[in-house]
Amino acid sequence: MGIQILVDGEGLTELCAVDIPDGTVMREVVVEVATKGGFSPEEAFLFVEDDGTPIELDIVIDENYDRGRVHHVHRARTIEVVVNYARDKKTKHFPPSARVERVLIWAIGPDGFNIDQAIAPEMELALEGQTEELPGTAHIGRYVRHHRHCLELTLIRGEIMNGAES
Amino acid sequence: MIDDPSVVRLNGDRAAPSYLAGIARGIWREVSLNFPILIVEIAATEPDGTAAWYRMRIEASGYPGHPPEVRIWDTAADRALPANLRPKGNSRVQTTFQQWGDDTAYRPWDRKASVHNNFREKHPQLAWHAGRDLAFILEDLHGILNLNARQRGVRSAA
Repeated sequence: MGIQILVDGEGLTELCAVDIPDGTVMREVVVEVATKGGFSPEEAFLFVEDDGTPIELDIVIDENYDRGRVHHVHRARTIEVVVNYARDKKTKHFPPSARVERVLIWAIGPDGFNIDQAIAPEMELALEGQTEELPGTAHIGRYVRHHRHCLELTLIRGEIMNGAES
Repeated sequence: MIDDPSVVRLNGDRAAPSYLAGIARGIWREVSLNFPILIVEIAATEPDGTAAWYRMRIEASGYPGHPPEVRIWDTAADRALPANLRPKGNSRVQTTFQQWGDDTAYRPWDRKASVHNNFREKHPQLAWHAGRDLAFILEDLHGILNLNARQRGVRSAA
């Protein structure tokens, strides 16, 4: 019987589903994602979403494995995230499996730019030099190639929609 | 017999990793599909930080050539959710779920809202096109429904 594992990762533009036979080891998931991402699986780590501790690759995936989780494959173990806002910058390390939303919560919070609560809901993250909001569920590792280990982002005001005049 | 291409595409979106990930993360769950009506519940964070679920009625005829038409829904009464029961919070929440002429989700990707006051043209990055998928609108709505979590500095519901 096959098992489907959902994975984000280095070099990917969107989530992918890896279908593997019951009884396969996690290493096979890494091999498949590394092939899609265009890098060697030998140097890659496998994470669970938002978790910084790599998973043991010899774990056997069977019907008891918790499939209600999204995974991440990346060659970097941590990523230095730099967020720019109002001529200031803040830096913190995150695992590549961290969701953009998690970085945003830090960036607007007291350890980040301590954004006023009234406008905090309007803030979003974009890649440095760009204006398009990053999706909150995307893993930051998606945007970082191994040799850089660094992701530079900008805190921006998100879309302000005016109310409809029916 | 040739299958309705809208049904085929919608089912393809329901099987896509991005849609399945939303279910795996517990940020949305599918309630029913009786084409062209898909009912999905999305996890939300209320202004006091408590978790909640809101139900969306997604009308998908002509999908994906026609944008989906999305209403926040009261299934028991088979009508749009009354204003006093809709999500509360900052202006982005209020605007999205306001009662207006067509009373759909007021977002640039919605079938009705998109053509209201040049909404689609003003926000092309959120406009619908055939390359979008179901997860795109669900992620957008989940983001809106959890803006209260940002104000409280807590993680989104689910």
